[in-house]
Amino acid sequence: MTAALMSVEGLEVVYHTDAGTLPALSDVRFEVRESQIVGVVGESGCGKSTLGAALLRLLPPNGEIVGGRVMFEGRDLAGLSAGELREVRGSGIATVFQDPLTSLNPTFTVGQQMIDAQRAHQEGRASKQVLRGQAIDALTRVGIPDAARRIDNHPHEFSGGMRQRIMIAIALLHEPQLLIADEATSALDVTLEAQILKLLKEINATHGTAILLISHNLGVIAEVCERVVVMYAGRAVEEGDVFAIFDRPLHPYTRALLAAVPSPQHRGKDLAAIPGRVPSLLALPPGCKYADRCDHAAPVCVEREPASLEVAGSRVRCFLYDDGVPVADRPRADWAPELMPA
Amino acid sequence: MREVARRPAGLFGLIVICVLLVVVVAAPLVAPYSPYSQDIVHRLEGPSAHHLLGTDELGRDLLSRVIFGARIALGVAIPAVLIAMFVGMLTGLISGYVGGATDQVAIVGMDAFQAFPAVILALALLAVLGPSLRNVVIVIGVALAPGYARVVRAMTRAAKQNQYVEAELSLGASTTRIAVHHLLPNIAAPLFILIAMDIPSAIAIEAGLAFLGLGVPPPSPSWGALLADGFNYVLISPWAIIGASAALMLTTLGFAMLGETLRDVLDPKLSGTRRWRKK
Amino acid sequence: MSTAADDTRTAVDEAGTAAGGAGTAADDAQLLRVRDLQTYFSDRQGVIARLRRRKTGEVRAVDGVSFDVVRGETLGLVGESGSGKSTLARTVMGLVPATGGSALLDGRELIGLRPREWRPLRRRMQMIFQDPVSSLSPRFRVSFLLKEPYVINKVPAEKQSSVDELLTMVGLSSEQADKYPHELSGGQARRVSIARALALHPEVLFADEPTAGLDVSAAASILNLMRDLRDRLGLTYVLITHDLNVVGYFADRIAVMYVGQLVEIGLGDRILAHPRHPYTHALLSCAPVPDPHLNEGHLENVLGGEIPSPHDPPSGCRFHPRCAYADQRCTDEAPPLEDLGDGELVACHHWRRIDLASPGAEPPAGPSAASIA
Repeated sequence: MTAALMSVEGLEVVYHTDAGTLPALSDVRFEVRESQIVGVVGESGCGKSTLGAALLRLLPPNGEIVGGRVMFEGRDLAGLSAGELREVRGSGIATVFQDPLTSLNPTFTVGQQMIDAQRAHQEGRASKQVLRGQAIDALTRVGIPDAARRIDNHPHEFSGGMRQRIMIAIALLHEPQLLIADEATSALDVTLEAQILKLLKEINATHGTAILLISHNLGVIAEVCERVVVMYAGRAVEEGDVFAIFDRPLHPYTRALLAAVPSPQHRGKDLAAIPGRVPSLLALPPGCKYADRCDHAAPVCVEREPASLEVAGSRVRCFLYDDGVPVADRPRADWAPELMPA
Repeated sequence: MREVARRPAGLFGLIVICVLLVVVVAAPLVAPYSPYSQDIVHRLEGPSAHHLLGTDELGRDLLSRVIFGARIALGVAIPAVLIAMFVGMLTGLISGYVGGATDQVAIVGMDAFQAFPAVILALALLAVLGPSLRNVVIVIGVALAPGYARVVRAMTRAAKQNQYVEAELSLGASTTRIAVHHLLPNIAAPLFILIAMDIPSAIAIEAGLAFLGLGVPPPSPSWGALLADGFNYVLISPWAIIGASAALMLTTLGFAMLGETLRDVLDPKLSGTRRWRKK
Repeated sequence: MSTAADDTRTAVDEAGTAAGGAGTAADDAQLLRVRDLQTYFSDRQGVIARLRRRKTGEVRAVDGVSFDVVRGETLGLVGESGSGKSTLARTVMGLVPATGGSALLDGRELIGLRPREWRPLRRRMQMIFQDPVSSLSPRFRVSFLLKEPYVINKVPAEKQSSVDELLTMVGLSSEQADKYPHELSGGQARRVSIARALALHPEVLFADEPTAGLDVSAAASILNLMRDLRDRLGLTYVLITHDLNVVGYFADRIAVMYVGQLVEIGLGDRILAHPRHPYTHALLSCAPVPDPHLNEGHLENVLGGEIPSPHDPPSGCRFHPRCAYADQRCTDEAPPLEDLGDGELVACHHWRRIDLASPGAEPPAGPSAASIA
């Protein structure tokens, strides 16, 4: 039984703005086991990017973690000092972002940037030759051809797909146990995206690196992840095994999301678009945040927020499965009667 | 505008400009004497009850000359800057939008003009045209125009990339319509800043020209002329220099502060993040 | 002796006739006929550099593309970066000057027109642009933007649709009329651009990535809207996208482009089930599907290599460096578009011999996907 590598418990993050305090994340909990690939999926405004930034405390100046813990290797990342956090970043947890062009410094060669990254975590001073050799190895491992020569190129001399590989190579320099990929393939063409996803899977298989994949693309999530966390309005509304989520989604939002994806099977028919809009974080309703768009909403859904419950191996935040609510007030649905309290 | 007034620098600038405008408009009312009336008996006197700033070498009241000098300063600077703006804007718009050979030629032209320091350029042109109020305005306008042209050109080129330009084209909009309706309003904001910063430049150029004797012809009390004349007598009576310099300095400072504040205000702000500090 | 280009043209002509549909007169059905369209850009800036221009400074964004669009159908134009699909649409729309070839709208030649001659034709073809908010001029309210097409084209009042009518047509309430573009959500801005494009009652609508940047749900409603408008107004769509799910759902026929050229075109169902060109097959295999069962083993056989830059495309068949089936002929000779009947065209020397099973199945031995070089 693999242990939990990272455990997010009740994470709460807010943004302070002129217009008020935005509750970007509320009571988010999930865990990533060693060598596991976990996906975080949701639409815009759901908080997945905030989550990616918050884990390593890379939030913008007006963002703040106001509650919960991020346990990694027995320590709470949310409470670490800047120095301790710097140790974790890069060597324990590494991140790859969406746009490699802005993540890489255009004025330095790739080799220089990689050596810089290596030096950031060196206790002793390894020679430049050694570091360079390690960098060339890393580039070759991620599939950059002719790495020994290309290490002296500048970022703009590489194509987008190559740059993303370089970012992954840099992220892997210190053999992190967890790699956070925040929309890492969203800017890439389909064939290149597939290459990068394959690379990530290989890294997971050979190095045992756990991966937290944040994406809005359900297809990517289905292709790569073992477990999935579905987010809506800053909350984790469903979490479970990937097959469970796609075959037997429990939360009405997950079901609606899956039904709205276009495919050849839907030809000639209307797609099931979800009516209404994501609520503004400035004006969140008191009860379940999805209630106003949900087909099954009952009075209790509008009054209070559902708790996160364990149902058949997944976690769901929905009153449909809550036996603490009297039948009369509870919402009803017919898709998995055996899981819903009588 | 409220934002500008909120900041101390901006407030200062606004006050200076208001005072200046009042002085310019109401000069005859504000000034105790005519700037031209001479009183040789009382020449080169220091400040007194009759002459708050003293008199110049021909007995003219310095305060009045400084006050009327404001008229010349703004009277030259504002039209000059307006000319610069229009000429520059037109050139920049056409050059930026049309691109190609036209643009290349225009750039070479702008480079040539800007290669000369403004005063030298103005000098050369005045030598050809002959000194007069009208010519000084034109010449300063021409000297400042490339600055606008460059900015407008750069912004037009950037704005041209916007998808809405393509969208308008696909609806059948003509080039003129796109330039006037869709490009111009979007590039107007920075131009105001430029204008605020250029007015003091124009005043300074005029003063420089006047100092060299090529500005508005005497006996006009241009601040530069006051400086030039006062220069000869500085050891005896420095008040001309003090008066004209103070006026020049305050005006320049006022406009510059206004310009800078405008720039700060119009810069896109990070939404509400500036006030918050991490605990 | 006919050249590859001649063969292609003949093939497309015959295919066009066949694609006309049951019982319709061939010429009448082709609303849009594109032949050998070329759009080249020079990447040399500056007067002096321009004067010394050599051929190698050219970007062949669209390099000899030929296809037809039948009245009332939705053609999906699919491709990755550098495929030229957006440039192709812009060239036909006249937003980008063509370097060669022809495009006929209902028999009228579009290429080489002077600006004045464009106006009446512009009204028959409109485009919905990729970024919804930035395709709306930021200083104007929605109501002005919706009236502008009529102002520009001097449309008499009786023929104008009111702002409210246009908003209703795209499912927006009249409250939106007073808003500025930056006050609209992505989905709303998209609807406003659709409304603007429809104001002039065009026959052909080019939709450039209509669902890009939209959430799953917003994208679904836009697609529903587009379907609805197509049925109600009898629109012909050219749908430009890289999203194969969208194209599978919405398009009748699919055209696949690679580095400025058309590699395959045919009925949507057929292309998705049995692609004939190796690139189409690779594209479909790589596209992630939101179903973990279908994706098992998906990533085993990923297409290797980089997408070539249009600056310097490979010789012969442009796909040959990445193709598992390529041989010397593919390197030397560019394959012409062959007509397979029923409006289907493929540009591949070996399509008959290779048997591309449904995407996702085992590929043959060949340049392995693991070697990225």
